[in-house]
Amino acid sequence: MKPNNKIDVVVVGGGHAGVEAANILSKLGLIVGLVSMDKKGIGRMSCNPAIGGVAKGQLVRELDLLGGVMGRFADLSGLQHKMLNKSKGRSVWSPRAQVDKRAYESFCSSLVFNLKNIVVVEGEVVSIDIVNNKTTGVSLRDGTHISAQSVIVTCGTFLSGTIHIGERKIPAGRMGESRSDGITENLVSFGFRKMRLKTGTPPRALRSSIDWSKTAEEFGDKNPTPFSHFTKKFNPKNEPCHTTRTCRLSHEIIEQNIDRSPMYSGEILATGPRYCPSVEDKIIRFSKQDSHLLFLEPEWFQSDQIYINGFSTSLPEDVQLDSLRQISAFKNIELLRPGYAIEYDCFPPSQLKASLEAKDVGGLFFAGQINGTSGYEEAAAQGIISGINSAAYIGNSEPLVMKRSEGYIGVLIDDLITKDTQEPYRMFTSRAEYRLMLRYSNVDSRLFHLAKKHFLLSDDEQATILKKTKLRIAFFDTLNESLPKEALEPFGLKQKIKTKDYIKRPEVQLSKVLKKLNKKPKNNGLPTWCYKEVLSDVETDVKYEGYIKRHLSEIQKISKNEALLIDKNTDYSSFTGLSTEAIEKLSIVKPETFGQACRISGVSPADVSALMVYLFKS
Amino acid sequence: MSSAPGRSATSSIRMSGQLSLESLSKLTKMETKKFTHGKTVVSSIYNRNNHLIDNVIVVYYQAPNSYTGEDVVEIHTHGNPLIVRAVFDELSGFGLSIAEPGEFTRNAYLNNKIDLIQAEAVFSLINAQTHRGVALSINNTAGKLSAHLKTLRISLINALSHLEYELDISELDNHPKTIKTVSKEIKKNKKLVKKLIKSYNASKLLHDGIRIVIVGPPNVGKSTLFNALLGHDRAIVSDQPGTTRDFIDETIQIANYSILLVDTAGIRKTKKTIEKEGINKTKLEIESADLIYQILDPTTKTKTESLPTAAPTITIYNKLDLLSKQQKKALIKTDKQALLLSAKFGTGIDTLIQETAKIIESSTIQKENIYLTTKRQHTILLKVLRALKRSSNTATQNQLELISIHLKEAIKQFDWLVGKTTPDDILNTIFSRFCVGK
Repeated sequence: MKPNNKIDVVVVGGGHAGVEAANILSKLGLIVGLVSMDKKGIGRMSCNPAIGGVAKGQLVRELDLLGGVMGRFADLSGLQHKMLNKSKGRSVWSPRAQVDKRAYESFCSSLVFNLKNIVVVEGEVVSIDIVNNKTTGVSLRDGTHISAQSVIVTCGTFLSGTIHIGERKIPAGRMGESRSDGITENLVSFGFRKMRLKTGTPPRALRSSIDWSKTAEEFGDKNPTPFSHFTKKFNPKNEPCHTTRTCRLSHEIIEQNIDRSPMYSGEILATGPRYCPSVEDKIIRFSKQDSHLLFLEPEWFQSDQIYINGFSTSLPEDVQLDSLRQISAFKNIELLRPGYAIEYDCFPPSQLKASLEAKDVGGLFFAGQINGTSGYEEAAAQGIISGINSAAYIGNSEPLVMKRSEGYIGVLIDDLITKDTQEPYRMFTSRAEYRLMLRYSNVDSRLFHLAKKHFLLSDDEQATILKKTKLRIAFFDTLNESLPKEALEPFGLKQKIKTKDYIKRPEVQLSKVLKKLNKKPKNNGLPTWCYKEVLSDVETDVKYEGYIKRHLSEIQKISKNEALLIDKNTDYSSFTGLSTEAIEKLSIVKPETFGQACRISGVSPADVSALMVYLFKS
Repeated sequence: MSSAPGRSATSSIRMSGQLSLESLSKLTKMETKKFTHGKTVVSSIYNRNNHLIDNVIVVYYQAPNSYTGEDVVEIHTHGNPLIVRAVFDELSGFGLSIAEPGEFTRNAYLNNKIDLIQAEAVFSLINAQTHRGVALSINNTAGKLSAHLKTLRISLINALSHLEYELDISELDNHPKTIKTVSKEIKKNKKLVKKLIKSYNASKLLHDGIRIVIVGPPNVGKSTLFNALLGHDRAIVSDQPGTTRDFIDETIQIANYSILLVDTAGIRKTKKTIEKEGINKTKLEIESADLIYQILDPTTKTKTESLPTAAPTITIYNKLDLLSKQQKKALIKTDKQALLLSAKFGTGIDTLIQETAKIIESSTIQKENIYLTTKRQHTILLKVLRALKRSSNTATQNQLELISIHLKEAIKQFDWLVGKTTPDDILNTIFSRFCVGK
């Protein structure tokens, strides 16, 4: 297909957000034009060779149920899979995988190039066409216009990107790739607010230059769990990662050269992520710590290129090398690529609706780092939502807005549009007020209704989920029965008790009880990992029942006012009883609903009461 | 108007808001730039017909450096209500309206000049009943209580940050150590919260005054004692049991404490409906008493009844004048705590007053000198305590995520006291305390 053919939606960028958006749009039957500056860069993993992690693994699971591809591809390209936090509490169990970047990228690009109804255009978008507060398409640097009813902007770190390595400054979107200029100025001219953020990446080292005998080996789980609900055959390699530690001497080199780090010399003013600090930050801010853990991760299967996780830096290359060589395993280390910091433009996401559509421009959606987030998973989650809602915009149907109580994606987007992100936003489980309910293992029961409503899953996929649901129900059925008389004694019980109440005791395990009673439901052809997962999830539901009930009643209570719509043109300064700060914030953000208004930073509980009085009056 | 109404040497009129400076300029017929922040200016003020109203002193406070956070103007006129009315008339003409009670303080709160605790303190400062009540309100307006509550909140956030670090970020498994640290923090804070909750009883006494209720069987001389303490006859006294059917009360001062003294109907079995009603009321009075004088008549055989109250009680044997020396001795022997007095002749009243002051002091003095002053604060801290108790219960079960739920619940209560806590506050604490990042 040529760009001149009718295109419904233009997706600007082919990263993790762009890939998910394009895929779901194509699934929904729309004609997609994907514009990328480099066709070979589609689905590229710019930073660490891993997918998932605490809270992020949950995101991957959720987007998998909404028809996303990240989970499936991570399962296909995994080098080792691990369930994190196994010892710490059921709600924070999180899948993570080291993945083969090259494999992952090739899965993404072959998907994109083979999608139905897609045109992949190599080019640079320089402006979004906007007429009468609606987007009409995009214009490319070479003068081409692509008309479309909707545009999804996913430009990652490419907008006016500047790479810093010590004193060197390189205009680029990623190392070795040119940046994108023009979109920022174009959007600002339409009244969008912009901001500048910073992120960084560690150096990549040559495998053969590392003394592996001085490192410790780390493997994944023996019986790993896949990300995707739809992965049938799952037999990942278990390639090890390695760990080592920085030392006093390596810290000293960094301390002596700290004025050559653009973060400290004042060259970089944008804020970086504090949860992923540069090594110079760790050393200066936590000077008492003699050593920091480093993870050595292969970038692909048996790759000669090793990712030094924990050593993100913007120091000059010679300082990086000098500091690393103080560590015994790195005495002779050679770098294939130095670590670097990158500054880029983004747009405060409070300018978006919960659908990720711009509040003031119809049909224009933003997803990924342009919204101030970091991470492949956060980007992909926004990508899929923007895709689904772009289709809803064109079809004039209701957008998919996930509630905070339904999933991490709901928390993510609600946080983005109501909070001021001062640094790249990363998902954490502590951001979710209903964490106990948002488990990686119950995504199917939380989100299937949304997937069905928006036609996101194929018949086959739906059948898989329904099988899982059936199994869940079968487990619950066994719980509502009382323990049979003859079972009481073997369990050391004197009085009659419902199986469910017995399971609530901290030391009791559901699987053992069912085995003893010989009541284990059949697995119906579901893979073993899936069967075990449902079992453990049902057990969690029972054990946490009291807490979950309290959550549910709280959700019910706030849901009455949560969705109350607020007029976009509300004059907050005319309300008495609102604090000055609240008036200012509410006037900038212009929340769509009362629920959003309550969560805007700077709006206090007293402001909420005042706002409620006014809204109920009108 | 911020000073008390009526005739006085001077009167103070205060205005706040955007129109303040402009109105001042119109009143004085001086340009706005003549007034600078915090400087007093002597000037004349005129009405719309250019007639002189008064010669006054004015002060202008520029926003946000004023009490309310808005532009504030103070006009000190001569203390004649007619002058004040004339100024008010002019100001109304400029579009200003009269502030509702507490509106200045409310605006100060809305503009972040003071927090809610400080705002509450301003109100209780105006209403405090005793000298020490005033002193502790001043403490609160200066922010002592809110500073203390903020510290408490931060300490809970710190405890939570340990948990969340372990759950959200740590690559290692340190959960037994984390639980130990957190449990210690919770325990420490539970103690502090309990102390604060206790302080409320003391401050209530200091603010509202102390309610002393005189109880006892009929005709033991309750009303006689009431009158003796009052210094004049207020209650009707007679030999007839059951004379006092309704309770009467009067405010008196004992050792700088404001005391509401309540005389009640004697408690006995009766069929008379009016008297019955009186007895029921007495029971209600007893329940709300801060201190009870239980009067007994040693000349008749009455046993001490247990009263429906937890308030401290002073047992008093009245009609000392009717006892022989031996009888007195025997009485003192049987009840060493009791006071002997003659309300009729005033003997022993001084001892009663001393004893009363001692009891009040012991129940109102706190070491730290930090008091809760409102019921709202008290209710919130009770909820905090409940949540903390739950979180330490779950800590024993090794459940990080459940401890976290209860701890968050406790922290959430502070939203209404000293400001909202968001997940970002927790994350900020984590990032500043722990070296994170793989």
